[in-house]
Amino acid sequence: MAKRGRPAGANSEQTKAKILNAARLEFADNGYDGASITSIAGNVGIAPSAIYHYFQSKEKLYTEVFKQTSTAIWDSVTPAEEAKTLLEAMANLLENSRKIATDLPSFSDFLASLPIEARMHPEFSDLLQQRADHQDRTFRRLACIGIESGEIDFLSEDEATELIRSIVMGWFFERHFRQEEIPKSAESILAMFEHLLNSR
Amino acid sequence: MVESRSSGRPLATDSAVARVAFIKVARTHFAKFGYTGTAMTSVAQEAGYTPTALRHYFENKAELYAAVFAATSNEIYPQIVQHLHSPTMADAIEGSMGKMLQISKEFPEFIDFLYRTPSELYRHPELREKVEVRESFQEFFYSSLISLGRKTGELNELTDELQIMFFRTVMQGWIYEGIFSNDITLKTQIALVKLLERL
Repeated sequence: MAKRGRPAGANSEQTKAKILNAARLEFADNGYDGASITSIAGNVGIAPSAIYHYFQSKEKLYTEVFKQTSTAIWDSVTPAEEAKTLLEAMANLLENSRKIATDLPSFSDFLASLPIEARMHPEFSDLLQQRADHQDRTFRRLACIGIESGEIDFLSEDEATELIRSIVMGWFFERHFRQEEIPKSAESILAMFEHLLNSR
Repeated sequence: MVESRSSGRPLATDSAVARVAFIKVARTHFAKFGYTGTAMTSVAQEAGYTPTALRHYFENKAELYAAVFAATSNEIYPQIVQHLHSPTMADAIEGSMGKMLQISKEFPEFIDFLYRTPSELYRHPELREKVEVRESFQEFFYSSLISLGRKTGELNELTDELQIMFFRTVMQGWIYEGIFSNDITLKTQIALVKLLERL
């Protein structure tokens, strides 16, 4: 006779992964407050109580979705060691980010709404800090590539980091909120940036 | 002769007061709970009126949102636009960013409300037509900024389209990431001014 309670071993990781996927979609569509554990459970095909078995609370679930999603994204957009120039590294980053937005829309949706959720829910302020750390690592790395290659010789590392942050995140959010890319926006931004860097 | 007032629409003076109260409370609710999380009844209650009174002014939540957006942007946009009269494009960028940062400290609920707008439009496309002024403001602001740069000779090569795209992206990116941070704002301002000085 089947026992009640936690599903047996091998399935457990799979179930967890399914819950995280369904939760990402639910949070992305309805926001933290609007998300329902019952509909997440319904989409996975399990009882709501099973979700609490794995994730204790909605807050914990949100935190886990965040960790998984942001690690996946930032790992895939952080420039590889072999990138030689800032412009090349930025072009790669925009291309990767564009791919993620197309292939995994719920990843972009979820991450785009985090700053607002964190402002409204102070319990998530450490997620905002983790987000800042991910960003800093990536944008500082880009800034250093630009300084080492000599492309940027008129800004400090901090200033270059902020400039790159605003360019990349501005492009990401404008594209995200419009739900479509302004044609050639990435190319235009890079062309302009290249022109600015090469002036004088 | 003074008569006791009949029920129904309040007198004109009261009317303005109620409208202002509704907008003020609704701005905070939209900023805090989002469009979906805001309830007409809670807005009415906190403003000290009945839901019927609120519906007398704003037929539904979308109308209320439109009114809050109009009131908020009428307050903020002119303060930003002022800086387009700066002597140089670099000054205009520095001034408008500084102004937005200042407003975010003095009137956080205004900036919180506006900060959420793009994500509300994304989730509720039916609101788009109610806040068209946002898009036209941005177009006006960024194209005026580039014209200023051309006039002062700060910008000379490349097309307007490319320049507008670039500066719009950077400044909107700064709003999304840096408007709540002194440190980010200051460094971004310096970087942009240095970029312009090279041209």
